[in-house]
Amino acid sequence: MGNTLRKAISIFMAAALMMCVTGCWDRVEINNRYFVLAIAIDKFEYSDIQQQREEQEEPNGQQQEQDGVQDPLDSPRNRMVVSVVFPNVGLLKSEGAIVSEEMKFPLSTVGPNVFEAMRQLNTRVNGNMFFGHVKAVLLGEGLLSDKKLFMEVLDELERDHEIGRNIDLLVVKGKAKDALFIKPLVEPIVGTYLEQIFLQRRTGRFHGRKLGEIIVSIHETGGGLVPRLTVGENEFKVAGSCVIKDHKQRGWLGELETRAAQWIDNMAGEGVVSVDMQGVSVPFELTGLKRNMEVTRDEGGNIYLDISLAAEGDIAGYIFQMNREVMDEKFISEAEGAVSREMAAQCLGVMDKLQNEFGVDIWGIGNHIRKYYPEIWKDVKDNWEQVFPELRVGISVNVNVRRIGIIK
Amino acid sequence: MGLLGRLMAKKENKEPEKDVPRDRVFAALNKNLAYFEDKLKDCDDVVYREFEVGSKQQYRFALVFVDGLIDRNMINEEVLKSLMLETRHANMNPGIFSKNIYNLIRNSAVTTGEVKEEEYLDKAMVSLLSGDSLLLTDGYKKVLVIGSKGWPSRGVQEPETEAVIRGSRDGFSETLRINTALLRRRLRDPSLKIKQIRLGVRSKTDIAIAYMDNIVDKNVLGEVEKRLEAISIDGVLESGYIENFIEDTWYSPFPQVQSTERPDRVAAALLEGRVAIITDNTPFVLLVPVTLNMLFQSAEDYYERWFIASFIRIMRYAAAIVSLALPALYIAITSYHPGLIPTDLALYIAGTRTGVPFPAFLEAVVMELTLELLREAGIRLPGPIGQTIGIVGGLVIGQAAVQAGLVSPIMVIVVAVTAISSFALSSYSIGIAFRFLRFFVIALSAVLGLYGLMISLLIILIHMCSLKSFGVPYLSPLVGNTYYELGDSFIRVPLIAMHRRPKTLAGSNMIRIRDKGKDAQDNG
Amino acid sequence: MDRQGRAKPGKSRPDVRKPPAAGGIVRTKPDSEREDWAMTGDRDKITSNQLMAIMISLLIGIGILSLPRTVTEEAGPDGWLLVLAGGIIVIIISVIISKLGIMFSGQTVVEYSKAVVTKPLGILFSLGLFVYFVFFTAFEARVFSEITKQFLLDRTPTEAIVVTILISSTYLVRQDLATIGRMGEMLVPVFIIIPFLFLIPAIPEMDLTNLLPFMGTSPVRLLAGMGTIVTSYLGFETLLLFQPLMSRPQDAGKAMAVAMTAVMLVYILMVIATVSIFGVFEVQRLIWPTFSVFRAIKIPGAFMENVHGVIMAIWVVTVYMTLSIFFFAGVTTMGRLLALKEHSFMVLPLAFIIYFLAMMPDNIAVLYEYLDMFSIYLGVPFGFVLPLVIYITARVRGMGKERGKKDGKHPKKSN
Repeated sequence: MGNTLRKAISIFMAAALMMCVTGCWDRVEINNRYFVLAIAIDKFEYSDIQQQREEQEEPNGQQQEQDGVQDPLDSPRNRMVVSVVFPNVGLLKSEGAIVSEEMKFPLSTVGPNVFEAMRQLNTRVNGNMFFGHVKAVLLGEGLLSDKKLFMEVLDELERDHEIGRNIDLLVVKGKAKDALFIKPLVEPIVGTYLEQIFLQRRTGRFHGRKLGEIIVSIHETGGGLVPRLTVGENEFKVAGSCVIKDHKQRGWLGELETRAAQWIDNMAGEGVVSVDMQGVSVPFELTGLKRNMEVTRDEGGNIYLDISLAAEGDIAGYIFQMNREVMDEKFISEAEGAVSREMAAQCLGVMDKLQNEFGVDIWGIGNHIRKYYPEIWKDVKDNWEQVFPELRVGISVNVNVRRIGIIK
Repeated sequence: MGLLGRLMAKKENKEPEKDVPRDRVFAALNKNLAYFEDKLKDCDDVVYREFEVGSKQQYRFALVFVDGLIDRNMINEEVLKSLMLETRHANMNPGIFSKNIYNLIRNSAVTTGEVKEEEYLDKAMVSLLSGDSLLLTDGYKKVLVIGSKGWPSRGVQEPETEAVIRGSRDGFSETLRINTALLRRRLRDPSLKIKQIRLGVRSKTDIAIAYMDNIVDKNVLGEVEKRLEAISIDGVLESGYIENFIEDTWYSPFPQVQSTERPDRVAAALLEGRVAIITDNTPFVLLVPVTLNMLFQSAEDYYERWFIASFIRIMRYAAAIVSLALPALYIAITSYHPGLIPTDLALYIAGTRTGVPFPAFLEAVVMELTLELLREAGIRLPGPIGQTIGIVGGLVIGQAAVQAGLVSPIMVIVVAVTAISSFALSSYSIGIAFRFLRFFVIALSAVLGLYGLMISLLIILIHMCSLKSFGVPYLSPLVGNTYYELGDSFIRVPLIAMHRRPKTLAGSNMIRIRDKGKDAQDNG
Repeated sequence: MDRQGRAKPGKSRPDVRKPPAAGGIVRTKPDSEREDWAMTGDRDKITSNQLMAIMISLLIGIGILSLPRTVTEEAGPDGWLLVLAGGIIVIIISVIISKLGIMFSGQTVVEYSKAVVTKPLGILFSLGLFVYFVFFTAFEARVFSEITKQFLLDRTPTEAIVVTILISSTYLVRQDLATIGRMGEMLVPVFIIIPFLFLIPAIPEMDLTNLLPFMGTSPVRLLAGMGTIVTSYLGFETLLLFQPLMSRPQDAGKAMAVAMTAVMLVYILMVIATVSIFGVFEVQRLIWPTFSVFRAIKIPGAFMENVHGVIMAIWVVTVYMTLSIFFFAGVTTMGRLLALKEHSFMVLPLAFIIYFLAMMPDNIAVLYEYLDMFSIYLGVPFGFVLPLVIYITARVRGMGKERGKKDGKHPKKSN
């Protein structure tokens, strides 16, 4: 026993020594890591370097060829512009260390695909880029118009094990790269800024799905909604969404339309619907929403979709006049009626748009039929894309006002 | 096993066999005295007191004792005075008494509580050196050994290493007899047996084995006695020596024998069916068998309310885990997997570590070693200085290091919390086991991150699973069919609910609390 | 000298199942017969709880990660029915194996197969079992290191991870089964309760309608899909070897039934959870959907946003146990074949062999192919078919002890 014990110990120690001597392969000190908080991906176009060219005032190819570097426009490898931003952690708290005063560092590079572009950034970055804390991925409008590029990007995002599925995916009207280079007033670190906007969710004006869900919906139906980001001078606006069909961008939905789309999706139980009652704009704050869908088919083969929404909320404003009170049952039922009409109209509007203008089922109605009405599904599943625009949709909204504030 | 090896090796010792006495008592007093004076040459603390007794001073006696070991008062009053003064008043007819003067002295004249007879001089010498006095009678081949032990002793004081808020403040002392007395006071049952043996060829230390006769597991008791008798060593100076010899696995960092200074703990252990080994010259009493669970219990748990006790116990287990794994966890996460912590925390840690020149594990190891040094230094320095050095030293060094940019403040916090949790453990021996193992865990997680951390924890767990202490698995009651004992492990259920003794320990008598009204057919 | 002090045969033993006597004193077995007491460090017996724990930790290993994907590929939203069916079959077969163990009490399959199906066949069977265990250990090690490399340690070479887990495994395998049993007892609550605890915050996101339509797939496809779940249930056949090491082998059947049910429930719940969260299509796209589920869970406001770290840590422990028990089974088989007393010296050389086997596949696709191949060609025969064959042969030939005969009652009359 003693002998074998000694042998076992010596082998174990040999292995341990070997491991310690050859090194800890994965060890990267946390202060040498750069935590990428947001990634922006654009399609590479000439306009990207056009400005730079004009400033150089030199004939295009010559300077480059002399240096042995190929003209970016000519290389087929340059297809995407990838930008990342990471915060300057040294500013957070350090004693005795010398750090720059910038709050964040945005970087941008060009490459054939996302993965290689990231690695290329390592030629400029003096640390290890870490994507485990990415909060948001911004895609440029141009990228979404290119079906192939978009699919490649989506696959890479899903395949990478560091980038989680719970992050936000946004479409930027214009160039995504610009979003990262602004200096927001409120929260300088861009990724956190975006994340916190999404956390608020007080309005339904943007689509609150995460990367994982968007990917699933694009897989299953080939289409989906992606929230839209507009870049301002030093702030963002996240509102509205982009409609994706067949893995390509088709168009935009406005803010109100997006909200209505979410209602049909049984989401976004928060938001404000303003109705006009006798000349006064009365805001109705939605606090809860439930949706029921029923599908029926008649003998003619027409499929009817009945959506009923049950909404609850508060009235948040009226007019400051003595004889006009909110706390009056008649008024409240009038208001309920007005709100329900408004909501139904918005829902019908967006449904109409999606059926006829785009022809894409972003709500998974097909899935719903597959689960609950398998007989109907059997007949329509092969040409769902044609059947969907033919659906007869009826929307009924039932609104209940619960509270009216603290005055009458 | 190691024990077997040790047994084999010791057969060739050159010391004479332990217990075979050789020198008989001589009849002539002078010869006996000469024997002692020869053997105890240059032992100037041995006193030879010769005196004569009888109306005509015809009987010669000699009293031999070691100054300092005996109770002087008793010797003077009960032996010398009784023999020299009071027998003068007795009517001693030479004819009647001369034959059995020795018996007379023994049975009627020496008025001490404890006397024994001895026929062998070397055994008498052992008694002499243990604090008894020898009464040598001229013309008789027997020596009267008078129990007169009375050396300076610390007495019964509060145990320093196991202070409690509520509970008795008795602690064991260095005298065997005081310790057994403290035990007897708590268990006034004739089935509390105290067997004495002598260990150590030259030290001849008194060892007492204490157990409750009809509760203890006879197998364990037999094993204890067997292992004790197998010890053959020069001197047993402390119970730690015994502990080293009787434990099952010598190479394990975990203690398989529990030592305590508190008599109430020993009494409770005996009532559960365990065996206590009391050693002379040390207040630390050994308790076997022991499981990991017992090392996390403190006597106070049973005196306070059960809810508080449960909470504190859970905290102790948590403290053990923290003291073992926290620095390693910190290293693994910051160096290998910063994706596992929330973003804000990761950014903050990265920020605090900006500019620190050392990698995280080096920081951790250096700070831990410094803390261990400080702890040792604090023990050696006397009294209040020691405490202050510990605290101030830690604070000052930590703060200075942070300001110099050598370590990050979070590392200081981690190390401090680890140290504090290792102090929170109730048993010193388990605390040092975890202290030692912490470095192993840090080493593995510094190389392989979270995976290394889990592997090292697994190896430690396997080791604990394979340990046995006198046949009881070390991790009882979590393993084995002993689920009702869980009431006394992580939490402490109210005493009303603790009906049975731990099955792993109690040999034959399982019931601890009897229902009222039933006939107590008493076996124990 | 018998250090255990076992009672000599012939002494009457107190029946511990009698109610306590009027005095209120419970007499347990005398010390000499207690099942968990042994002074020597080896050859302890395991209790039936420990057997359950061993089986649960053995079966829950690498299979659970890809299980939702494989069953959904075969049966769509009814994948969990496949798991249920597989579980029932496994329960039946393990009860059969336990009956074999009772019939030949004190013997492992290595010994009684020689008697039942003639010696050369028996030895062949045992050798085959050995090879199967060794291969499985190697594959477990390799899949484990692939997944660890993917999620935890990116740049560490695969060899380092495999070597580490194999060497730490040898430490456990050198011990006896009782140590493994204790480890299992301690760890099984951890790795069953904690993942399900972490799944609770995900319940709002679970869309159970993803499991509809119910029974939409044809039974034919269901039957064809049974092959895929074999991998996840393999391991129960180690009962062939472990049964005589129990203190009460007759309880093995019940213990196995409970353990297999528990494993089955865990698998079903996992499949349901995964499919509910991802939907039928996405589940088939993810290689290890079980992990991805935990990546997708966010506990807001808690200290730990990302629970997948904890899950990975627990999973390392799970696979370690699976690997070690398979390894132990292989070593025990060889030890019994060669009729050895101590098996610990074999462990380290075998570890080297396993290492080389584990490094054989080139990439993960090849690896999973091999795994499936071995499950079907080695696992099904040795796990499912051969025990049945042995059992039927033994019954037909009327071998082995029946339970009624142990009490010394009359043997069955022939008419």
